[in-house]
Amino acid sequence: MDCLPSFLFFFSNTLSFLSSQSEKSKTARLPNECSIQQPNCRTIEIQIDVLELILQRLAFIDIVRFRAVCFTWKMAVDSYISSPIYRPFPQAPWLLHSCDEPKNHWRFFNPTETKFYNVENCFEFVAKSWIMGSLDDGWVLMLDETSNAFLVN
Amino acid sequence: MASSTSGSSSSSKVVKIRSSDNENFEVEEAAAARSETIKKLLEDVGDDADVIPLPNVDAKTLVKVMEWCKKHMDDVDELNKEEMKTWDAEFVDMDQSCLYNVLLAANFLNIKELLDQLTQKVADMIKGKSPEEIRATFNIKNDFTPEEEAEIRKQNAWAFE
Repeated sequence: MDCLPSFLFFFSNTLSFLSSQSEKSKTARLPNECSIQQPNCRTIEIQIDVLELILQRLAFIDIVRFRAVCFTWKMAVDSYISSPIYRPFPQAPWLLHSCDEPKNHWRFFNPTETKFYNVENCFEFVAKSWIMGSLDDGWVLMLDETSNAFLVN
Repeated sequence: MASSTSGSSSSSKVVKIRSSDNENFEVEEAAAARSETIKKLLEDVGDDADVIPLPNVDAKTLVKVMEWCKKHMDDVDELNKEEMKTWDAEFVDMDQSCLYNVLLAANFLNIKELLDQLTQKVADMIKGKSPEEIRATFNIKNDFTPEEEAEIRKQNAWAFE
């Protein structure tokens, strides 16, 4: 694992990272509440269906940031990624560059933004593992130290 | 009784539409029918239609939307495609509040191609920006509590580096 070869890795299913958290965040707060608080801020009154049309045009990394803008936008993302119409936006694959084992960081390179991202613990459930290959829809084939194979989505 | 709603044969026919602030406009039917909402209304009321009220769209926005509809009234041939692309790019390059109003109007009037262009424009304005930059661009208030925001960022801390 120390000298992990670089290979192309599609990261399109990373949204599952955030969907697991979305359920408990659904509180009793109504979507209109934020427009009541801020009547001049009209953009947040954009209906969820229009926000979904915008989301369909964004790569997952932009969707992750979109979700942190305001309550209504977060709701739009949570509803969009759990809906049957959700399709990951076609994007250039991220390059899995290296693993920083002491910190348990996986270093990914996004060629679209020409930027590195350090993602923590994303494969921690398979201890001492090797990545054997990946598929373009987000599946990764991993082998653990006793050569058991795992398919990770 | 449906009247003819598309094609160049109806291009001389004019329909009247009224904005939310009670301004009346006369628009060529072929242009107005780019809106599925108006087209449906015209089909339903036929020639009996006096003025079609559009309670969700103000005059300023309606002028803008109809400018697009007029330009896109006829089918574009191959030669004019590039010119139209340039025109469209200039059209969607408007200030944030105007963009917002035209986007909502396009959604209400159900003009798919215009909606596609506008949502693409908004998506392009969002791409690569941090949540703070997005809020500044679109004048959005951060209505998360500090705890909620910290939690959201913690879930995908790597995305906010």
